[in-house]
Amino acid sequence: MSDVFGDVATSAIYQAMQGLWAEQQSAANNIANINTPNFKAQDVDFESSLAQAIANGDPSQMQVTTTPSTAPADQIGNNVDLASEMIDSQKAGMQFQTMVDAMNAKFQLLSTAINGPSSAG
Amino acid sequence: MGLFDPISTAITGVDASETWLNAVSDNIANMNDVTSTSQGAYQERYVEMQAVPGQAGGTGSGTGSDGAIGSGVAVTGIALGSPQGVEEHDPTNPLADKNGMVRAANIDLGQQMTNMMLAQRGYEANLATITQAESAYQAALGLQV
Amino acid sequence: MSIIPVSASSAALFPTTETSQVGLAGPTTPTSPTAAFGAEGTTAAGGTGDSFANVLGNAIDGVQSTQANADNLATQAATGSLTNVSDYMVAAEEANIQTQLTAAVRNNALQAFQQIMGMQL
Repeated sequence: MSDVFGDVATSAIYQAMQGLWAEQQSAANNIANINTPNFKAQDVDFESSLAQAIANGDPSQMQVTTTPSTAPADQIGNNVDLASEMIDSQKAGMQFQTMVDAMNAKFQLLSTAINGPSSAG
Repeated sequence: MGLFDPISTAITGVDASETWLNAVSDNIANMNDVTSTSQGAYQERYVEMQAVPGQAGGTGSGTGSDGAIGSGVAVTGIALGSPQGVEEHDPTNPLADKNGMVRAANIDLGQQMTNMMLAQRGYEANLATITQAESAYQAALGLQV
Repeated sequence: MSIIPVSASSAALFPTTETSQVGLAGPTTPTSPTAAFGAEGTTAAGGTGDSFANVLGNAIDGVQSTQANADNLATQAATGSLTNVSDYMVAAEEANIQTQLTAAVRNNALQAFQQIMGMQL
């Protein structure tokens, strides 16, 4: 990204959107495999990596990690917990929405600085 | 990474659940089939499913013991159960052999109803995922650059 | 990302002495053009309340810190460590309004300057 969007906050927002997207994909995959025998649900984590990358000053160093869930399996070897996957999916969706709003707010500030105040402000 | 990954993943789940529902309703419809003892009974349909692994270098493949996030489920085949069935004594049946025995299908209705509920649950859960992913897309499209 | 600094000129635009007969009219008033943005006078109680000039001046000087605050809260939201999303939304809106204010003042100051430069001697 160019220097105008190179500040830590904008980069952090962008990386968070990547991570939240991975969480949505993981939840979708776990739900799709809800009846698959011997399937182990996948857990996605990006927040701790992002916090570390921000502390080091470069949010683009964030890594999305995927680990198999250690939840107990049912009689066909499947350990997907539907309720928690649905909740995770909803949560990731709302956080994604928040990040979109945050990104818009950043663009808005830049636009105001360039073009002056909007008439609908 | 595809553009609409969560949605295509959820669609694989919908398809697999639908296939399972079809198999279960087939089993229930045929549970009272009888044949003569010289033939096989109606064989129970089992749907074989397998998780689709993620692409290397795809979403979430940075680190972690599991690698990339998977892309849903695939139906690898429909297996047929045993043709043994259960022999029943029914001398009035035109198909009965000299001992009055016929071969009936060995379908457990309770098991089939359970499977039907599981398949329906999977179907609805995947539809909910599609709705959820759609609202995330709408949010992303609302980015005003 | 830093906004175009106008804080250095805010002191010039907002004289701390109050001129009571000018409203917020354009530069056609007989007094000095900088008084176009001058104070409205003391508060109704006739006491020592903040003049409008001071309020505007402080608002412009505060733009950098509201933006930094919004950035900080956005980063916290990105790493998932923000407990109140409303905190961030309020801070973002605050930054937005103050940026718009600053941009408006900049535009009007420029306009006034150009009109002055265009005056026949």
